[in-house]
Amino acid sequence: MNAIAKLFESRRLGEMSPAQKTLVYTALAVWTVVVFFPLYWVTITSLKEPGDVANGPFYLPFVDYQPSLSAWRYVLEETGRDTLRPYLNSIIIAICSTGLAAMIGSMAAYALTRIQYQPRWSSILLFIASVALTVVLVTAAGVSPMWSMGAGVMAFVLLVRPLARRFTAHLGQQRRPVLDDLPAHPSAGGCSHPDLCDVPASRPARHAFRPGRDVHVGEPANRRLADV
Amino acid sequence: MAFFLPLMVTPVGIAYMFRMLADMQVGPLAPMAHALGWSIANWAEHAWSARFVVLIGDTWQWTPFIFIVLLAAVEGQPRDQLEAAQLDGASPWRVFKDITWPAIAPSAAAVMLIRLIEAFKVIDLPNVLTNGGPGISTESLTLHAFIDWRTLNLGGSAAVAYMLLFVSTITAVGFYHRFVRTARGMQ
Repeated sequence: MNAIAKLFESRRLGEMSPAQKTLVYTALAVWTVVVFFPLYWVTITSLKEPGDVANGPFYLPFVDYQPSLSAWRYVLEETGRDTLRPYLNSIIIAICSTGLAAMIGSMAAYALTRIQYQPRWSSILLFIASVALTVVLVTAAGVSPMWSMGAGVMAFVLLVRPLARRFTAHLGQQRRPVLDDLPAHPSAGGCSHPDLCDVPASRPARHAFRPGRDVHVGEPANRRLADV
Repeated sequence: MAFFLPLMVTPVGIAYMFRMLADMQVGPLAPMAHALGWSIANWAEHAWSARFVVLIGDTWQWTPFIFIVLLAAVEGQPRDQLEAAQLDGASPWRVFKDITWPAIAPSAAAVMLIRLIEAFKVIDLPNVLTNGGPGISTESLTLHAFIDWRTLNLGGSAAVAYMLLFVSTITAVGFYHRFVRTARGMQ
């Protein structure tokens, strides 16, 4: 009974018991087989002649069948140029698209968190109407695309401000208090003594106070701190 | 890192791989299927078995993605809370429910959302594995749009693509509001 209980007891804090370890490692072993067997099968299939593939299944190279590099030779030597081109295309597209997506995405994320944007509904609808006007002028009225675009841009520029004054409903994130919006409070990070701080301690701080560097002559509290 | 390998294989390669594995005549599972008498029934002839093979292939490929993101989330969790809970004698389930899960819930919800959107767009696996068959039983919306486009039914293809956009957007927005925001609130 004692031996069975030991199986389910961990020896140290945060360590698994022997039974837990067995279960976890068994699951890991099964998952390893699940992950690697398909990859193994593809690898050994690439080393088979067409006859070995069709007459299989053959599992072990040199035991069940004689491995051959004919498929690799075909891909890399005989049709090497055809293989290399898609390879280069994939590399170029993968690297460029990843870089571009990371760059644009990070800028968008930064903009969304740090910059307040609240486009008015009237501006959005006016923009759509201007694009529609351009399309209608080109397709229905037969006006040249350049003139139509000019008319669309002009309509947008002329109407955007009057409409924005009249219709104030807007889209976008709520204005969140960012660090610069908060009132300055010298107690944070430095001025902890109540006598030295004129600003009530309950008010949030804009930045950590750095003694000796953040002294502003106009503020009596800081002047007193500087004197100290 | 080795568990991350399936995600690096191209989906077309995975489809061919599973086509080879699921071959009940010359595939590696053929002897077992013969022994169990399954080789008589071809999985590709039945809608649900064909769907199941597509499902297995897609799961095999995308499990590492979920795994790696959640691994990063779990490893980024503060150790002091875990150790404090263990010192207090909390059970592993309680530790998971009250400490680990709230910490990883936002990452889990975000990764589920990404995976969900990606899963809606599956095309390679049903195209190579079953060619959408038997009949059109394993045809995904993307594959349907692609077949329409190949048969020069461009309007139909665009309409199907928009249907997919609606379905995935509505599902993703619903998922975001139901789970991602809730998970953020747990932190």
